[in-house]
Amino acid sequence: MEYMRRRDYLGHLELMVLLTVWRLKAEAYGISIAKEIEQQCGYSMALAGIYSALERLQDKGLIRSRRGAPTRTRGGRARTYFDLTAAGLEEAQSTFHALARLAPKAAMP
Amino acid sequence: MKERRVPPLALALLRRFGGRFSESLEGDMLEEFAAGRSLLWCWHQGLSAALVHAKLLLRQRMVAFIAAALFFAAALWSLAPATAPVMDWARTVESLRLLIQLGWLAGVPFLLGSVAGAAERSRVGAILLGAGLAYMTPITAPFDSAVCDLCVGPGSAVIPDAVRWLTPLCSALLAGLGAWTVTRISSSHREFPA
Repeated sequence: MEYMRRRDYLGHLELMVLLTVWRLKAEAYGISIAKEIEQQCGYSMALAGIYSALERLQDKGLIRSRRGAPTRTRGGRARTYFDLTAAGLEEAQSTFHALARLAPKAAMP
Repeated sequence: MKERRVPPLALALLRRFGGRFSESLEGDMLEEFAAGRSLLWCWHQGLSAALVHAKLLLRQRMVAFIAAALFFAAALWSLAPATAPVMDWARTVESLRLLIQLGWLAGVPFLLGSVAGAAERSRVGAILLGAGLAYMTPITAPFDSAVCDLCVGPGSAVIPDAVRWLTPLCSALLAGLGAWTVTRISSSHREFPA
């Protein structure tokens, strides 16, 4: 309960991005996250919106980033990969279970 | 056949407004463009980055925006006669028209500067943006005439157009002052790179 009072609640976009990073595991970077959200949820999202959510999640300590190798097709720019921290995994799991508990049985697949 | 290239301005928008991961964002755009995305998609990404940045700043600096708007409203209100007797008196006083016009010419650039100060990330950038916007102030001349007509009654402009078009320098200085004021207010309660 104390934890619930202290923590910052996640917005809709942040939650979607967090769950997508969880789903993609080591392969989560800007484009892959955008494509996964588009495939699974049907939302076409701007990359800047996704990176903005990733910044906020990193500030909250829920994800961490690592840089990949620069490639020629990216004009020498590296990819930044994201994965969940222990706190991020706990947040993703608890939010997912809370939503599943709250949803009416008829809404469950 | 002409080689397809990512629009440099779209790329520059990502670089400027992409935040902490702007380099990755640029790389993502180049990668997707190489994979066959359209020029329109690139522009959408660049403009979205600017929009996301603006929304973020608006949320973070709402207080500064409201303060700038209130200051402008108070400045206009203090110049405009508020009660009927004052209105009647005002209709006979031509110098009030001059006051209102001067107030407009000073208030608008200060407001533009304040908004730029609230929106821009660096103090120097805010001052330059505010000053640049203030050069547009003479375009708003019909509006100050309208305010005059509303408050004082119909009449001709007191400030000649020739003089009005010489005011951008003063306007730019006022806008710079507005931007500087708001960035000072902002920097007093949050990190603000100089």
